[in-house]
Amino acid sequence: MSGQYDFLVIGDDEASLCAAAAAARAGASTAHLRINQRKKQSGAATTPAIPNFVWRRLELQDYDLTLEPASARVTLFKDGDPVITYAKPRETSAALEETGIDDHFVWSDFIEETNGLAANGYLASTLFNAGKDSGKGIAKMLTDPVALERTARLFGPSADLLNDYFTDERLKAHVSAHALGLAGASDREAGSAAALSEFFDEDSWRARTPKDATNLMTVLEIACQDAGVKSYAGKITEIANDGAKQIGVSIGAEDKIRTSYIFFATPEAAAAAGALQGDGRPGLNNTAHASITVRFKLSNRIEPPAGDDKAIFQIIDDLEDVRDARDAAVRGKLHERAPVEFEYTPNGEIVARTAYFPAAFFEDGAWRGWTGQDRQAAAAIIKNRIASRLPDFASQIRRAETEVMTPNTRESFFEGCDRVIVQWRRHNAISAAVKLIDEVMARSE
Amino acid sequence: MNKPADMPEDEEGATVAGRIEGGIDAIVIGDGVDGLAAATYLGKAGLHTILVGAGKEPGGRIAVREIAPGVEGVDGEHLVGLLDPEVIAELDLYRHGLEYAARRLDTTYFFDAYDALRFDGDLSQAANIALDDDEERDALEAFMAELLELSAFLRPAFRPAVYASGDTQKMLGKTLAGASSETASLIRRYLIASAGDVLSARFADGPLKTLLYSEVAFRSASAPNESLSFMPFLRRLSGEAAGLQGAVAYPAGGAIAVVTALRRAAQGAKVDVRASAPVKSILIEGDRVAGVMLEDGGQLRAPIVVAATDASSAFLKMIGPANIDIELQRVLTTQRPEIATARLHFVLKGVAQDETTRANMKRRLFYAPPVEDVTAAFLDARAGRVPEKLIVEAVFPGALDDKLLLDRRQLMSVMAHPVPFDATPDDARREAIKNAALASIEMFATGLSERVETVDLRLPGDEAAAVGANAGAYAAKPDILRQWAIAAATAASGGINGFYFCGPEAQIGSGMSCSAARSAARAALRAYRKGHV
Amino acid sequence: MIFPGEDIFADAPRPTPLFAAVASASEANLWTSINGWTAARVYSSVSEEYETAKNSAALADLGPLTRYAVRGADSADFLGRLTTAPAAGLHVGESARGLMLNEQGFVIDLAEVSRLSEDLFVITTPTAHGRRIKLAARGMNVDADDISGQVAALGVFGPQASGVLAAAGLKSVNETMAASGVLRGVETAARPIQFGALPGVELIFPKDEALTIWERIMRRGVGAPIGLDAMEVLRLESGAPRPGVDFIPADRVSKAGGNNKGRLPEELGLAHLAPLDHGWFNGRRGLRERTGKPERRLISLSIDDEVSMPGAAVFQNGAPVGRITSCAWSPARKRVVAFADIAASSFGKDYEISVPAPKEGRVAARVLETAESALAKAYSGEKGYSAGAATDFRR
Repeated sequence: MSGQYDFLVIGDDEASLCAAAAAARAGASTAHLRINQRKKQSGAATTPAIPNFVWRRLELQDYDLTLEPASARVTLFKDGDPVITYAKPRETSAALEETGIDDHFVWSDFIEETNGLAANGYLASTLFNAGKDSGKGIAKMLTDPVALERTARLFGPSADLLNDYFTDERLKAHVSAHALGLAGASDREAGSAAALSEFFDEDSWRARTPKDATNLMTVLEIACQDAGVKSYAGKITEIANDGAKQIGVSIGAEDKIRTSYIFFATPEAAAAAGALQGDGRPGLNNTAHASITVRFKLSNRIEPPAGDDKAIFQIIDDLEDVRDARDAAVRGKLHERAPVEFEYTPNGEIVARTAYFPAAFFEDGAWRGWTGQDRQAAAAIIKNRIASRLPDFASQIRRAETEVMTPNTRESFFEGCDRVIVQWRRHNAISAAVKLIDEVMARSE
Repeated sequence: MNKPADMPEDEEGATVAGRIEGGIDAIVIGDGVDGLAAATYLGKAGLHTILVGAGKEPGGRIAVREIAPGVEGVDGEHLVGLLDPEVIAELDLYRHGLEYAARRLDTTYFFDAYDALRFDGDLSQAANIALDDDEERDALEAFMAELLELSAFLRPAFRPAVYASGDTQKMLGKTLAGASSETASLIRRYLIASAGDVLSARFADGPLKTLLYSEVAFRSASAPNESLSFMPFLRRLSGEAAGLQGAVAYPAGGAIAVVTALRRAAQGAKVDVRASAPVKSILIEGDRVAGVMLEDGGQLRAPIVVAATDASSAFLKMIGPANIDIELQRVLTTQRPEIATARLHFVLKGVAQDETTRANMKRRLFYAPPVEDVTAAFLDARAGRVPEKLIVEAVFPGALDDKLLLDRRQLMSVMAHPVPFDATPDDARREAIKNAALASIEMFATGLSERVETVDLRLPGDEAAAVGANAGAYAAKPDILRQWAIAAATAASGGINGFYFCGPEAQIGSGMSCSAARSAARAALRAYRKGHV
Repeated sequence: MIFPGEDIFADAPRPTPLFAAVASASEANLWTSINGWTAARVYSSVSEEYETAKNSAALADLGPLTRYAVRGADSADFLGRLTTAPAAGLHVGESARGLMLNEQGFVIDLAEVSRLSEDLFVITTPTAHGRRIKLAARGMNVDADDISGQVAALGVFGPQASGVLAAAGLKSVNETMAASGVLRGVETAARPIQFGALPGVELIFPKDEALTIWERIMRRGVGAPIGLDAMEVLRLESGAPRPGVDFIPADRVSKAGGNNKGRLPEELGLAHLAPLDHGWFNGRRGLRERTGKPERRLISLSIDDEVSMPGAAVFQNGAPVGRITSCAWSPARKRVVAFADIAASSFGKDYEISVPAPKEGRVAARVLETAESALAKAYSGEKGYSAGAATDFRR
């Protein structure tokens, strides 16, 4: 098969499908490519929320789709009470006040500031997306002290921002664990503040499809079809970038297509395809981390220790876990006390994941890839972490499925290709990917 | 001049408690190189300028000290690479005695796993490096050419902007806005990217990648595996020494020679330099500066005050939070320094006999640990642990400058990076840093430890204590965006009319530069001539 | 005492300490949320409440506003930094209004500061500023506690305000000096306030005593509670801009996005609240740089019509120059009084306002002289206005 497209969206997640459908609906000829043929099950029970404008754009009201927002974000510490925050700042600050956390006074201001930082859209696009006037963009940033200060804060370590606001160590640990967990980042690392601000974007609050409702991926696939997105599957075998307006992409043995842009809706999709090779994306060292998901099927339901089964849970002993685990990953080591996030699926399973494991292991002065033993060791760490918080957990496990996603550092078809666009936000990937599609379309007109 | 009419003209010399001294055009606080340079600019322009310094001798953190009986070393810096050529020219520093004992210093790189490599002091000569792999050499040559060109283009961005005046800002805006889209996209990429990403895209694993990784990370607080960590290298390459871009030089007599030349220049400009005169507060009246109050209770009144001390002393202590915008205070207080460079002196017994060693001693010696170890060193230092291996830059003053030659002993001047920042390090921490530095030096100079007679360690806390400054100002420089942001915020001087700031925070990059002093002094002179102060 | 804009999307606001009392007094049962607190829009009817305030005494639950108790040796310096109110110049018992500015001189919020004792101040702001207050206190010997929610705040204003208070046994409370002490067994702070052109007193007391004090006053049968809608009329008549409605506070501007910019005091007609020749305050240097170069103007208008809508276009000589930000029917003027945000270049006297169907077209509007604009004119030294001609809030 061959074809000519404006966009080739590569990725197996919700954000990629949304981006493809949105591009097609906006009139761009669009193809979608699945590389991994992953199971039609999302890696987690929840996904980033679908903001209203995307809902309208894809006319999702015409599909049988229900989404319910996660109830809360809960951190289960080793000792002491859990910290719980909610979608609404006011609800959170009331809850914090109740648990005796003094910082509740500044919670709303904190959300306000992180939102304000994220709203500096032009800064982000100045720094991350090529454009005709990007020299002017950089000049503008450097010559405006206020903009510069915001940019520095946005791309600095999140710890600076958190320490500036809060005194309560548990609250800081809670925020760091939830905001940085998806990237496996440390609060001391440059760029982690951007992850933090993105986490508090109102489009970042996660949602799930309730039990017996149609799976979101399934709905989005149909939405893509209806929008006229051409679907491909297979491995990329060659990319021909001959300097023309379009690049040639060969998929598997048969398909050869030409496209104006290759679009990745999430950094994970880009990492999986090897498009982050040697590319400096903000802060978070995307190629240093593997992301592991373990799906536990249980014989009996286990009650969550706090919140309810619609909450998203993080397990850490304290903030040091976040730093140490990330440092260990950078050094190519597994860390026993890695932060683990888990959720209940609508049918009572527990899905746990962490991005705090290394992309590759450094042993005896050399790097090596994941082995079966490593997978087992990683799964065991995750299991033990959950067992330390859910008393009967270990005895109730019927089956555990482990999936390891490592960034692709072998193939680098994309090197030097300026028509590859990567959307780098994780928490609000759906919203950001559709906005970026619009931006690219507006720019290329 | 707004000298109160009823104030008696003071005699030269120290102030007395309660005494008010007027008739002064400008006061410069801080006697480091920036303070000296700023004062000289003002004095040269005919302003009656007083420089008040906290220390006994001008120079700030650059000072001569006895390391061991009969052995003197220079604290602070040892090489010159960022000193603003325009300052040298405008203040006639060569005429005032600045000369280089060694210009265009070659570098010998040492590795764990590879043979030592020699780099020409002229980085554009990258092609001459003896490498087995032609492809690598071509890649290096292209890379260095690209970096030198780009860093020269970015030079205005590395000069501290005086936002109050708007001129520098406009110029910078114009330069950058005029960048071609290729240049702009390179700048953008090098700005965000981590050193690791940039280098991996250009070089295979090997000595070149290893040495560049360490060079980029050296003296920076940005971990080379994290974003925003590459740009500081461009800042370094934008500097020049003895007329050669990206090169380093050794001044005759050591770094103190810069201070000496500046002192002479200040003298020539009739600057009234007052030592041991710590400032208690900066006087603000309305929205303008009125002078300074000294610790001894005396007052100096002048319409221009230039602060060349660290920003938190100047803004939060001397001016005080009740006179500073909340936003500026926040910029100065949010960031916590974590990484520092250790300054060491080793006094060695005996002299090197073999020819290779003697040749190397005339160069800049640089130990580049394996990439993984450098990354790990930053993780350790940030977590407050002393890393096992440190990046080391070493020079032998006696080999570079005959006058500094010792009898049957040798002085090795070292900078080791990264170590954890600690304002008040205890003895155990000091010992650990000395050992780590020595162990790293052992990696390329086997057996050197046995020749060590004295190890002398200076950390930011020591340097700060010597001049009564805040130690954080002498920690390694944070990421480039933060450096720019702090420089912009401090250079705006809190909007106080007649007040100018050119302390370490106003400078982009580490090392002696005096660019900030030049910007501040020029802004002050412009305002003075227009009658704004 | 200006309420900020309502929280449009808020659900389940918290009850203010006076909620039990005011809820029983509400016939209309029309509530909204301000700063996350319940606030009554109407108790009986807007016109009745308006008349009560004009002729007798009105009682307002001021609980939704934010209050901080400020203690410590540097209190005056701290408040002088945080706001433009001349805190250091206040004697015990005195109050002053001011603005909170960011470092560029743009308005973040309004503020009222009262000195209750040598080192105890109370500051009231329309919205909460926990973070900013924490930042401003850095490096200073000062303690600023958010006491909203812990104390009940009752505003009594109108010509008979003092009579009502006296009748309720709160004799030592007067309208000119702030004070704190024990009033018939209840620890109370009282301070003069002004709502619109009406003078009054704000009583601040522990929330446990809320009902006691409220009933003590209501028993006399003189005053009546007043809701937000009636207060809005009084506010518009007096020319006091409302944050979040008439302008976007500077700290929210970047979130609001688009071409929104902060507003300078003079752009809001409040230059007199941020004088450049008194003590230093945060943002003064930025303000000095920008002063005299307003881009927008917020003006009070009196519109020859019975209804008008926020958002309606304002025309001058046939060309659109801005829009209405807030408006209400003024029973006293028999016209609509409004605030309009216009381009500074079109600052003048006469305008036209677009009106929707059925009367589609334009109606005439004139700049309205208000208590606030009189102060602004006196400050700028405009002819015919001396400081004495307008009643300054500071006494």
